[in-house]
Amino acid sequence: MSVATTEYRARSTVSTPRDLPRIERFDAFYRDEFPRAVALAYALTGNRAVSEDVAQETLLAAHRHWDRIGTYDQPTAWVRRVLINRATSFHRRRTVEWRAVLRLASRGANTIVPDLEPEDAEVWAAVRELPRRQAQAIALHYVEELSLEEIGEVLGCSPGTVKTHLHRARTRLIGRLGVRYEETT
Amino acid sequence: MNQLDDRLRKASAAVRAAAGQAAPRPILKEAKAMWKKLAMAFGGALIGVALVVGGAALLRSAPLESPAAATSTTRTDSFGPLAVRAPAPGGDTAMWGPGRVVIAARCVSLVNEDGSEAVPAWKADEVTWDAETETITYAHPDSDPIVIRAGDTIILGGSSLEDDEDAVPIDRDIEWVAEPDPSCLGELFATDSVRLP
Repeated sequence: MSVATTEYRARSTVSTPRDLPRIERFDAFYRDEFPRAVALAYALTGNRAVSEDVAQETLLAAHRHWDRIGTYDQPTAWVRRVLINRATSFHRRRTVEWRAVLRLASRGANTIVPDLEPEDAEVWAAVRELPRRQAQAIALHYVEELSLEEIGEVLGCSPGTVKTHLHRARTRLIGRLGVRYEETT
Repeated sequence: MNQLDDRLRKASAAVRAAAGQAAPRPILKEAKAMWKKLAMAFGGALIGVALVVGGAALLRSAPLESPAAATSTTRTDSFGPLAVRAPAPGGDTAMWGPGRVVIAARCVSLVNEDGSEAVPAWKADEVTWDAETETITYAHPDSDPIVIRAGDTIILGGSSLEDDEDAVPIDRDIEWVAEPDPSCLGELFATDSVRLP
């Protein structure tokens, strides 16, 4: 932990102008993470408005707990974990989607994230039909380009388990998408 | 050539490109602007107080609670990574497990053989956490205490707080003593009993 983060933790109960670096630090984190979070959520929800809401809500949660999360070695891992939890939760998706529909209706069709081409949308639709863990592993591996170890850290399982999830997911996707895959060692 | 890899990589590039055009929402900008204003106003107030009353008064002035402190979670450190709810009449209507106990920095969960996970929501009067040994002691009034360690296999009795298929939270009044960390993965399970397989 850096000296700076220790200092942020020590001053967590008093807000002064000196807190501004902490705010700026979250600001930079937010700018970096928002598009990545939207991409990951988009892959797992298939809905652009929902993906933005899920990303926004996840980063707002990080913002609320930034005193703690900001001290983590990898706050991004926390964000990814919360995000995939939310993105793959049907209830939240429905709830968030409903709010998103209301919001979009109130401001017209001013959508921000453009649609995917049909063949890319087909891939993610097939991924979303996978069991939850397999879908999450695929999205983290391909969208976030994480290693087995990094995915294991997010999902809370071993790299070997991640490899199993990916293998099973690919086996299913081959059938659904009608493509070939040759496993390399 | 791996056609599957190619399609997944292309589809991934497409969502990244699409999301790259997503602009951060104004909500947060407004929130941050409010923070800055608060912080600046507080700074201004401090200067004013210093000018009028002097340095001694400055030291006696009450601290302003930060937005972060105001929105802190209800986690209680004494329960460590456990999710703990206030004691309430139990509903031991379902079973979860056998599952292997996984103790992480912010979560305690159970993993069963098919890889599905549960996050036990313990009753505050039945569970204690020992941070030194990283053990959970479950003490039900009707049975001997059980000391639970990472890697142990246990069976939970109680009721799910989610729909099994869709993770739909059941509408129930849960008074949290130590709220589950948002990063905890798995089905939230209101635990009313614990037994060994």
